[in-house]
Amino acid sequence: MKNRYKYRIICFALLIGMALIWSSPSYGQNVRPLFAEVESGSITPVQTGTIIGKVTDASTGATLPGANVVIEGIQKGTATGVNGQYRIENVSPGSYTLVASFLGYKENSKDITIAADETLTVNFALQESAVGLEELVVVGYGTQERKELTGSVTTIKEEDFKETGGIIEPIQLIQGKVAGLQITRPSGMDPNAGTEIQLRGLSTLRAGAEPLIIVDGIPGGDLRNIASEDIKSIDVLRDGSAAAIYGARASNGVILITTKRGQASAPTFDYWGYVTTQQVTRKPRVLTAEEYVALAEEPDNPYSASMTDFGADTDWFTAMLNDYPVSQSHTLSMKGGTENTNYRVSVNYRDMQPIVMKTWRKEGRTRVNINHRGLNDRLTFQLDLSSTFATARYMTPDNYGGFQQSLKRNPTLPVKNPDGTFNEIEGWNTYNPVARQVQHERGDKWRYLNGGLKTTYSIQKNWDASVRVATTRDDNVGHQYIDRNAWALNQGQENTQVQDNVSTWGDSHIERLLESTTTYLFEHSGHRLRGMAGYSYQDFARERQSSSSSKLIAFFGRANYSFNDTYLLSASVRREGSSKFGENSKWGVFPAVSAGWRISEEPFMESIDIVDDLKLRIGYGVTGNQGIDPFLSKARIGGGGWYQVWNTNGYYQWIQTYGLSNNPNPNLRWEEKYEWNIGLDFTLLNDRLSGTIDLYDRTTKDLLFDYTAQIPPMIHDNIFANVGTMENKGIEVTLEASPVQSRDFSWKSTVTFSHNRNKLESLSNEVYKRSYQDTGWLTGPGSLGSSVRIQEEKPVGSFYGRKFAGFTEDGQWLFYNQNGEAVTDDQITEEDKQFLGNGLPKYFASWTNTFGYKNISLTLFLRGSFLFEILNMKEIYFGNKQFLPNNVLKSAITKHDQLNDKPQFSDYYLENGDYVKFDTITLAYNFSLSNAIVRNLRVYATGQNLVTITGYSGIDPEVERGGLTPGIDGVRYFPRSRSVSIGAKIGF
Amino acid sequence: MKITCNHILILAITTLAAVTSCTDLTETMYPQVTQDNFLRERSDVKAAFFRAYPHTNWLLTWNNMKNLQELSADQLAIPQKGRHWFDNGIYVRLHRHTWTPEHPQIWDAWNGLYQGIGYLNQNLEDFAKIDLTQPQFGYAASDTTEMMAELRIFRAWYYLKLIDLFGNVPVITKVGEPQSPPIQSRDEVFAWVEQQITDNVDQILTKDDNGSYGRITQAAAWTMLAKLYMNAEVYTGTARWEDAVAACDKILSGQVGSYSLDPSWQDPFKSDNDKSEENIWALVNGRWGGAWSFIGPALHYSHDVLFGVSGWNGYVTQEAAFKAYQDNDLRKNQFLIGLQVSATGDTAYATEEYAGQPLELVPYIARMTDQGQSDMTSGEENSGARAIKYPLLNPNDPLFLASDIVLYRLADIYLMKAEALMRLNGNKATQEAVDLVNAMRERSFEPADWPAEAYTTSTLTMDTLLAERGREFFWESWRRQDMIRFGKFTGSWWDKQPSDATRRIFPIPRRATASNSNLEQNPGYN
Repeated sequence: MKNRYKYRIICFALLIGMALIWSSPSYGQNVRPLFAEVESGSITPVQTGTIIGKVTDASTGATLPGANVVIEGIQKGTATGVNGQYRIENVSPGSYTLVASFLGYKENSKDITIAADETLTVNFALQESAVGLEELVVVGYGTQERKELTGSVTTIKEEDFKETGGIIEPIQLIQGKVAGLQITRPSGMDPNAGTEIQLRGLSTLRAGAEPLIIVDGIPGGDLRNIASEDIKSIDVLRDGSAAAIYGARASNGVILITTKRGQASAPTFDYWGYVTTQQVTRKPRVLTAEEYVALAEEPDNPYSASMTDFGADTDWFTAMLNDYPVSQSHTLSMKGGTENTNYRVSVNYRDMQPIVMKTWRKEGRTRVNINHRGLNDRLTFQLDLSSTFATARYMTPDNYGGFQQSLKRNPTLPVKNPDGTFNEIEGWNTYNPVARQVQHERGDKWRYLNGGLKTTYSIQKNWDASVRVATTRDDNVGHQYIDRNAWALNQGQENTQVQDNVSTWGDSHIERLLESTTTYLFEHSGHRLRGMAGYSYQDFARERQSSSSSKLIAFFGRANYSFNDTYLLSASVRREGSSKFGENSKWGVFPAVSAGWRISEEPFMESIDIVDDLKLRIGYGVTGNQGIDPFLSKARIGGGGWYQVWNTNGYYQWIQTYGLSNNPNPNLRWEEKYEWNIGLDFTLLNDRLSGTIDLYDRTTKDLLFDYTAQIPPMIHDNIFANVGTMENKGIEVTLEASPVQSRDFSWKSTVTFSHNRNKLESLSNEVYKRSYQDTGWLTGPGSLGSSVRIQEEKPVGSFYGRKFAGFTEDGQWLFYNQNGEAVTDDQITEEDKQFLGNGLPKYFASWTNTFGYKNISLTLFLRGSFLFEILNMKEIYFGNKQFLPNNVLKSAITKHDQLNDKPQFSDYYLENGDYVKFDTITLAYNFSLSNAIVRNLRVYATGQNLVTITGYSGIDPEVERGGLTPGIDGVRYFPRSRSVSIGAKIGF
Repeated sequence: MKITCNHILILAITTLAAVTSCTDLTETMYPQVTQDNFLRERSDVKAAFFRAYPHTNWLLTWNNMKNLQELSADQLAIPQKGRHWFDNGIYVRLHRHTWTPEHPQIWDAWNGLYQGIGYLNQNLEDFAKIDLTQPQFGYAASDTTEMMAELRIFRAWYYLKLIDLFGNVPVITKVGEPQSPPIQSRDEVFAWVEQQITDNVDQILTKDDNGSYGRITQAAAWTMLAKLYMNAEVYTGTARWEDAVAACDKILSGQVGSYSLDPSWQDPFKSDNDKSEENIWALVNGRWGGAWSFIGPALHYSHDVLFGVSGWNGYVTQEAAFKAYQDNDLRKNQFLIGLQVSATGDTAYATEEYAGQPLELVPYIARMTDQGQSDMTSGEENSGARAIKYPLLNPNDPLFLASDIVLYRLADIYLMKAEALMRLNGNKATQEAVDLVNAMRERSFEPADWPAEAYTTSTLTMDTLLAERGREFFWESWRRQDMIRFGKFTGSWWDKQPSDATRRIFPIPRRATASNSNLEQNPGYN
């Protein structure tokens, strides 16, 4: 309670302080002109002329409001209005150069001559610049022009996003477009499953592995609360020096999402909508009913007797699917306002119907952004409110067990009995997956609310101070309703249930943020120094049976210095405390320094025409990770078993016993990552070719993990501690080319490539030893043991086990022992196991081609991952005749026909996972409209996940990559699908 | 730049905001309690004091310690059955004595034992720090003495298990200290255990004290000493048979509480076995208690037809161990064998190799669908008799699987004393030894059969005594220890070839040696 009060008092004090300043009368003066309107000369009685015109986008023809048009030399100019038109009055007769410029476009100039009383019309059609050097890049706590950047930052703007049709989470908008950023959906298009985001490999073992998401300046934002259509740009801070300003949570990089805001304009509306349908790509090839019966009748089949023909013919996989389900999304936004007060409001409704029967997700969202400026333009309020309400129905059980059943279920069993009830049979881990999906309704209702207010006060022309407060609330109520006739409730007994079975559960998170920052800009004869300092308080409360909370408190500052726009230097530091760590070590310091040299600005480069821009960057930064559960450092008391104990009233009574439930660690501290980055940015051949190359070396120290505690003298065998070291090294390349750029036809091509090499340097120190840990446990039938070993000097995600050596004559497994001899499995010991492969891809690449012909555009997007192995678990269990009389994969009697032994894990089941996906093809048409009602209209058709080229025999090589067991393709899975969407965007 | 008082005000506010709110990073979590705010009143002390009891119950049931004691010997096994239960060969290696320090079940036992020691050490440390006679706790000074003595003897029980399984182990008496402890020799640990028990045994409760049921009583402590002395020759090389006899006599004389043999062999295991007069120490269990750890893994998948619960078809009886029971031995009734048909005539059906056919359990472990090969890797779903020593009632019965788990019982005192007397008599039976064995054995036969089944000084040999111990203490986790003491453990039986003498203790698990270089590995392992 104490803290809550403190928090409120501070907010209040700051607001009061602001109010005091505003009311001070001396503050009416010294007003900074925020808009570059040039005063018109009204003194001269000379006759003058007027220039009017329109500024448009050369490729789309769309008008560009807010573009600057200036007459060179006389400092006279204006900005275009809402409809892209401008007017410059009182121009003295003469010859001038008129220059039009707009952010993200190449400057265009025209020589004009104007006479007295003449009204001259000059229109500009601006070409988009390939690399917007002037464009503002969102960095931590502020923006920078791209040319000033010294860190490794990638910006993807709306026009380069994937089309929203077929996208589940907004981060997919940039899937494959940022070198080094891996975005995967291990559960395909299940709208209720998450997306894995990984930047520059895995840098941690047990702390959070995903980048920090910042939505409009609020750290820790949830992607599910954003409609893709509301996003203006996504900036990815890739290296340590750029991310370090966010210190505590920045080890896995930072993704900043900027939503669209209002601006001074007439009220406008925009509508986005699409419909999507899906189709399964590959299905597991199990025996059909006919094949099953034929196999049962084979004379030498030892399982014949137990392979019963129940007479039906069921394709259990298809029985679980929807035929061409239709998803749809509609978004309507309104924006408008004046220079001082403007707004944008959007509403979004999305109904996602995946390929699996009786599952869905429906979402409704609203987002309101209001900007308000007053007090002589010195005080700015920026209010952001957003909400999402969603309902969902999942697969039952929620781990996709139904599709495991569909693999093994006898294909001669019917889905339903002749009397209309579901057919069920007794057996080990067996149920009718269709019945389960129909009779067990499992889902949740989800509510997400976010509100933030940022108040900025301009103390002086170059000095701002701002305070931001924000609150986020995320509640979720889950439910499971089981029909009273469901087999699970009545198994092995008479149908005795009279009521349905209901269970519900809830989970609530509240986050609060208070942040104050101040920025100062100093400029003098080529020197420019920008300083920023701030304080941040954020707390996180969670209620779910138990109630826990954690806090982050930080002080931070940054200085950017540039000389002649050529030599750039940036330094930042953040001191941050997290409540999650031990009493002795809650605070960490995260410094960063980086420098840039714009070689192209040097005099000696002037003669080299092919180089438009060339910049060398180098940076070093320290970031932290505290993505662990709270309370881990404490000596926690936990409930043990119950025991019958004599009480003071003279009888026995059951009590629960309690004792130490973990090994406490008062020295639990920050996991820290130290990262070097060297980068080169270039633009060549008159903007035709540009690119970025980054080399990095990141070392994570004090890895948070469960280490083997000494037993004895400790009570528990694990201690959560900071011990090991991990290294990731890599290269990232992005190349953008515009080989053809003519009036009617354009071709733009972007290639990204990245390589990452992971190595676990150490897992031990003097006290805590863990030279390796086995994981990736393969469960029954016949517990196959672990499949992955995390070991010092090896990359994370290495498969470890027996090495396949062939089969004996009667089909028994043979494996290699240490001496390289092929022996049967009972002679194989732990010492004979070896490293067999790795599930983390070493290389990633993508290739985007955009062709434009007049109003038509065609985008082709390919991406791929290379050099990794996948463990095909379906083959282990279901590609084995011993699994009969359950159904098996066809491979059991073809590819693995020789095998006549129990399931065993070995490299026999590891497959090369390399793949290339035709991820997206989009065909779009932009109508040229000069219509008073409809401003613009774009229609498109897009196909996603259309074709996968791979040697992998499973259903999809894009399997889970996060965590410590990448590359395992399990027996429980969500089917993969390709999607086709048709959509439109209308502005009116 | 002109600095005004307003600038200063803003700076002041910003600084103030930063400084005042800054550094409080205390963690709160409900309902989590931590060690430093745990022991506030009597119920907290009780909850802490009894922590090791349910832990021990788990150790004797679901922990792998019982697998080390039983599956390395000649009575029970988990053979591979078709596609099930190979489990990376861990059960094959236990049976064939080819385990290594990596063997996961060895780590499980080591870890479970030292965890129990940790709870007890923590209690001893915490209770010494606070005054339990203060009003909020309300214990009498004598209670405190008793509790501390009981905790020390309980801890000695854990070390008794450690010297039996591992031989040379570190002795730890405080949680977390010392770091990287070295091992102590089996002799040193032996002496320490003996000292701990003899120093404290007179202070703890006896059977007649209120609230002593389920706890370590003086009789239980004397049984520990009896077990220690019986195996003294194995542990230290020096026999202590007289001391073993004296410890047994302490109990048989009734000095530490009155115990008598139950009328039936199964009474000590029944679901209401808290009424047993024979059990010296049993751990209290409620419905679905630890007994299921013996039964669930033994029942077939389809046994729900008979019992309303199905198992996972793991534990089976080795053929020779099953056949060691004569047909008229009432103890043979604990086995499930033959066609599995319920009392109401419903048949259980096989689901694996014999899917669709009636389930018929056979005494042997062999691949009959093939060439009848019999070894640890060639079992089938119906291989081997299944033992149900703790009875299995109807699942709706309030006492279903509620048997208390037996650690020590009087029958063992009878047989231990008989054995010690024979050892002292040049491994020959004395009349007193024969009387003790017969007194225990008689209840397992119909009166009509008994005269032919009673032992005499000439029929009771060391081998028959070991066989009788096997029949009586089947599934009570004594078989490995007994076989070692009788010199049979490294011999051969069924799928087991002679093994090295070093196999009489287990290696210190690799996970322990890897994190503590002072732990010297037992001989014969690396």
